[in-house]
Amino acid sequence: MWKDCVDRKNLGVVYAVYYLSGVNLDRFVNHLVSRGVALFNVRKKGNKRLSFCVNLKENKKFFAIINKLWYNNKNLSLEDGQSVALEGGYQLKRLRTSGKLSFLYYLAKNVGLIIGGVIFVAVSTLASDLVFSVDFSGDGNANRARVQEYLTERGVVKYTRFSDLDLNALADGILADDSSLSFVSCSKRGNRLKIYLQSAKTPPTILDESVRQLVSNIDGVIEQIKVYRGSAVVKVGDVVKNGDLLVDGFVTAGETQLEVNVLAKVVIVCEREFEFVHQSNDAEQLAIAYAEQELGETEVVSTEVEKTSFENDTKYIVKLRYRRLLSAG
Amino acid sequence: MSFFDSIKENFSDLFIDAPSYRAVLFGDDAIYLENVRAIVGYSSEEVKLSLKKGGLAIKGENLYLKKYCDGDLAVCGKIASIERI
Repeated sequence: MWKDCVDRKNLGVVYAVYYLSGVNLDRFVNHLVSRGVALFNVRKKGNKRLSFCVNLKENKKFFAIINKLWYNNKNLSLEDGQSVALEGGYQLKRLRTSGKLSFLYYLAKNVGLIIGGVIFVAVSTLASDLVFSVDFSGDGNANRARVQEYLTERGVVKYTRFSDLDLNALADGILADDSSLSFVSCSKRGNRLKIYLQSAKTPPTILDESVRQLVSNIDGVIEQIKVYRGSAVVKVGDVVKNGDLLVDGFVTAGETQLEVNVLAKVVIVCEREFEFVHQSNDAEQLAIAYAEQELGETEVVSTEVEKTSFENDTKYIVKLRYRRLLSAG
Repeated sequence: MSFFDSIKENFSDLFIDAPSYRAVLFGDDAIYLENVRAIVGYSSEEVKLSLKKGGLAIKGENLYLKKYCDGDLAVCGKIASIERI
């Protein structure tokens, strides 16, 4: 028994802490102890105040004794924070429950709290595994419609479980599906599926720096010439033929001639004739349309139509003047 | 077997009469007593006990009753003196 005083392990028991005020506090203590109630940590605070601890297992016995001695046999029981006036001028208050295992006592008295806590944890754990929304970011955002379609086809929709998804494989799949993307990453942020899309950029055209001369491949009249590197051999208004040199690959610096790669642009106005035969005498527009279609996509400067008789039909000669751009570099 | 009972067994020639009380002093910090009848007076400077034969006064500072039940009493605090009364 003497070990109880120094064995701190015993303090793992749960105690109710009481505060007693009144006179003859020693008599109160003696009465309790003589009737078999063990008191712990009895501390006097002044002449008329006392605090002590009672093992929670002996609490019933403690109140039974108090009921009999100082409370006229009424059923008395106190919870933490409650107080009662006893006969003999005593005031008893239960301060708190203490001891290393007192939290278990608290939990036992609040079972609903425990159940609610368990339900909350379970629901939170389950809910955190669900996809509530999909967020897109990055400059590849313009492709989100296609990516959204891809996700829908693979069953990645609202309320899908994150634990059912392999985010790395999903990102690889999106990247393989859309060639306009250069990088894709998928990550989980709370309940959001975050998808970062990086668009592929077209590499710049590499300039061809191997051209030493700009030569005409068509007959026509020079309308515009711009030389950035090299020397112009013709000027605006000159008539050129197929194979004529337009810009040569050299520049003169003082008395020295340097060879350079040509960088120039020349616009030539060309002419071409088309012939059509039609029974109607009034089919100029039709003839012009046929001629432009034959010429292809090019800028038409002017149109001339000449009509002549051909047997019983009308022959249309359509002259189209158009621009042709020649460039080097 | 209690601590005191084992001492009594080993040193039986020292015990002619059964002592009215038993006390173990733990330095100046605590005293443990058995066979205490009642507490006659209690304050943070003095604890007066009633024993089977006579009484005991424990004087000191910040005294409090660590455990008190069934005649066993542990008094903790800064114990200055123990006197028979």
